Amino acid sequence: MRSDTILGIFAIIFGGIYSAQALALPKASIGNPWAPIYFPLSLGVLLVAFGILLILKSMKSKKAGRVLSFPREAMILIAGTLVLCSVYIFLFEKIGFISSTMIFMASVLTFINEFKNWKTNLTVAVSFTLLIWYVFEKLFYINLP
Amino acid sequence: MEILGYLSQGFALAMTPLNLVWLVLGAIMGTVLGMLPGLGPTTGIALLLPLTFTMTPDTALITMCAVYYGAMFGGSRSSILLNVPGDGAAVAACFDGYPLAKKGLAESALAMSAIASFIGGLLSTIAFVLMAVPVARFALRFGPPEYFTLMIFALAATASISKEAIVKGFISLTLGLMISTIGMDYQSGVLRFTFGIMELQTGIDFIIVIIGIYGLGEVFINFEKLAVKGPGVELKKKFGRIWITMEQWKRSWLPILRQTPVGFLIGVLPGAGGTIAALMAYNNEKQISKHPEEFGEGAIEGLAAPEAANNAASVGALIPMMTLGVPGSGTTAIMLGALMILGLQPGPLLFQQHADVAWAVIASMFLGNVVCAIINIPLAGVLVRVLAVPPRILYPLIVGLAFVGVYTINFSTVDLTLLMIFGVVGYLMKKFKIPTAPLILAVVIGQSMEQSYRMSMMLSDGQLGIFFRTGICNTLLVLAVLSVIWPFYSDWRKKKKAGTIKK
Amino acid sequence: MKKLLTLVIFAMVLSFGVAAFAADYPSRPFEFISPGGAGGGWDTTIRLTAKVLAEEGIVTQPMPVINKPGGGGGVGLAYLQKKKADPYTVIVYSPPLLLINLSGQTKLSYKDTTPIAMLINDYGAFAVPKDSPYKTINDVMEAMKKDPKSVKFGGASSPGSMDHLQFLQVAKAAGVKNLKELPYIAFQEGSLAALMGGHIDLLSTGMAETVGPMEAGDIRVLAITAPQRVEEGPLAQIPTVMEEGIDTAFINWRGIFGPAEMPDYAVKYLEDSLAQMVKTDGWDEVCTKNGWTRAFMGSADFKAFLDKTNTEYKDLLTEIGLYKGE
Repeated sequence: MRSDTILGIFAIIFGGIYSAQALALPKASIGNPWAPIYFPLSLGVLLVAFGILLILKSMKSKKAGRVLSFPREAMILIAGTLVLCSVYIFLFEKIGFISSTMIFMASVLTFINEFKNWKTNLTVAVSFTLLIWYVFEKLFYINLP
Repeated sequence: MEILGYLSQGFALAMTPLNLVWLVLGAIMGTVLGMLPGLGPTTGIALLLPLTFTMTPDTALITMCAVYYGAMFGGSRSSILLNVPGDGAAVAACFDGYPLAKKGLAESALAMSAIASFIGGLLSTIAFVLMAVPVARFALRFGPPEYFTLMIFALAATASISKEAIVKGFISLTLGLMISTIGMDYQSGVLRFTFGIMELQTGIDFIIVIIGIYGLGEVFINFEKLAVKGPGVELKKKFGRIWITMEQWKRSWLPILRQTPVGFLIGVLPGAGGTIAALMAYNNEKQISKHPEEFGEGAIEGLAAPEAANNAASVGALIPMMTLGVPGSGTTAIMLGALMILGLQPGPLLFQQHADVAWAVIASMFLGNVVCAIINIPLAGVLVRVLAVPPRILYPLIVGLAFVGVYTINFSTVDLTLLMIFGVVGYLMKKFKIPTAPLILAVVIGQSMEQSYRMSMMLSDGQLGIFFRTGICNTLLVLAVLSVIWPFYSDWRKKKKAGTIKK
Repeated sequence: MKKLLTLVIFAMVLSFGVAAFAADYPSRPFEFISPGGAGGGWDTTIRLTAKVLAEEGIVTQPMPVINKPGGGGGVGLAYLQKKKADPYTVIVYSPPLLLINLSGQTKLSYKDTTPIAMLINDYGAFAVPKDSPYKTINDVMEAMKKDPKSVKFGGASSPGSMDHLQFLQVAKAAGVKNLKELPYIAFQEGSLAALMGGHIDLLSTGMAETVGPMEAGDIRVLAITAPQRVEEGPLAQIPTVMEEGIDTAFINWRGIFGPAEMPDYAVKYLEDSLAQMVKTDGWDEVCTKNGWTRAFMGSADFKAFLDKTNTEYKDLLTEIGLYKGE
């Protein structure tokens, strides 16, 4: 499928869900009860309209549309990084800035820069963490967990 | 000539050794804070507060101002080198600054950004001296309807510059406005799209959106190059002098001069600020440029114009505070508080009761711009070496820096999750070739646009006529219409011209 | 028998442990929390409190301040729940602590904290543009009684929060009916500029914010919500609403709280330390510079004050239909 068609379908679905959510918003208790709803609702409707427009446009154009490719290796890198980020977010306030950041940086570097460069990876992870900690905590008095 | 007398007295006070030392320290601190993603002038000045209690009022104000425009200088360093904007006002520096760095022109880009910032700051300081009071009075004429029409103009101009993909531009714009509806609705107190998450009640900080979409999004895009074995991105081995060529200067000087007043005036308006100024300046230049297709691919004037405008805006933002005693932005609100603690009451009386302090601060703004430019050129020479770091190490570092920076905005891990989401959004937008500028502008102004519309409606008891009540409103509306029509008109004219040549 | 023995030993260890804990309290650093961002009112209050406590040598353990902004203070309150019964966690609050619960922004309330001491008071002010037809606060009230929509008033916080409520409380006491219909315009930024530009008819705001433009003659302050006149400075010439014949006052109090179930020895220690602090010259200087009114109140009195205030706010919010608590 052409990338514009996919985008159009996404816009229609997302706009629809958003509009439904907007309709379900609580009403205002002072002033016009519908006042907080008009703006989001019109945005939802607009997005659906733009989605339809985009699909029509891409159907009309004679040029062969762009088809997207998502290279498998890149997807693995992105997904892996996202998983590591989630773990980092989970640990960040639990075990504190220094340990969580060192673990996070070391694991992301290992993941992206391969295990065989572990010496560089470890040095970078430790020095990055300590440098950031020093700048924030000592120079700017911003308390990190 | 009275002014020159005051100004020379101001210089005398600003150039005392103690004040000079603090000016330089403040400028350095501001530059570093500006470079770090998430930290900006507001944080810097809040951190300085306890320190300023021990200073004399002139030193305190000079230091705070130095941090403020130091941050404006520093913010674009990381935009240019890493595509991670240091703060909101530096986002437009990503559009052309980063492509320039990728083309191997990082030195010129960094130098141009410092030079444009310097000129923008210097010219607006002169404007400050000459017409601060009338300009401040003019800004007071902006009420909710005027703000609403201004926002409409800004949005229309941004959406229409992406005319090659206008429907996608509007989709991007709508998504941005949707993001801005998250949080508490200020007029009714109703919570919208917060899904029970308390951190979302105050809305999503647009800096998170920016760092996610540009910084992380770019890292993810580059993973595709990493996945292909080999060096992927070319490493920069040789570094040139941090300076610009004559040709680059010729392309940029006019845009700098044109967009400085724009930035200055937007800066004066309470609640607008550097981000809007920079984005508007970028739009304007792209619209009047003879080769708009180069914008986004590394057009040097596309970097120079917003850089000049955001520094001009930062000077402009001091005007309502100094001359009227009214804070124009979060940063100046904190400065105002600090002044009161020091026993100074900003406002018209500041220039009568404490003329020495007021003029010393103005003089320090001239000096500060020079100091910032002097700091930034050699600093750029050091920073540019970051491009020699292999991408497999650099990208994890960018991710780490983005996370820490975003955490310090609200000290909340919810923001970190949002950062991740916007990183993926940024990646997908790039893949689907959706322009990002409309989304960013919509996130920045979406909330105040809706709120100023609703405020206007309350003021007029529901009469739409309020949006045509003043010359300001009407002018802005006409400009909005023109900016939508203009790209099509110039397109048509070009085609017509091309047609006649063919015959 | 064995079981009983274990229990006895356990109980002994436990009581000894607690006693030891209480005896050498405080034995580690405190954690001071500002539920707002750097530079705001809450942040300034708690940072200056920590500074004076340390400088006067009243508390020798470090008192680093962390920020937990968001949700009008609700994020900080949620964070406090993770620290239940911790004797080392301290947070600052003011009326929004009650209001975010009453308006339904959070289920948590002041009952999920331990009030330690009230420190300072601040008051609201009502200002009009310089060329406004309203000369006194009563002129405004008369106009509102005739036509509730005739006076567009604004403030720098959302409906149901302080700037809105302080005006409604005065309006109610002045006998204005239909509080719900009064058009309140909430600004996030630039409320003072909107007043000076004549875009709104009246601004409800904090006392200190009005001084600059008032002295310059750009705005006129009609009344302040303090129970007595300010003693010195430019605000001394401004009448209180009570002097204008409206029998009410609105206090913006600020105080120090601990987490729920904070041990008594910790409450006692902190209450005593703060009581000692407010008598120092260092604190005097801080209050004068910031324009704060000193208003110390110990833990028990503060708790009773909060109960009473909470009922008042609740009645007012119910009247305008913004009460969403349970």
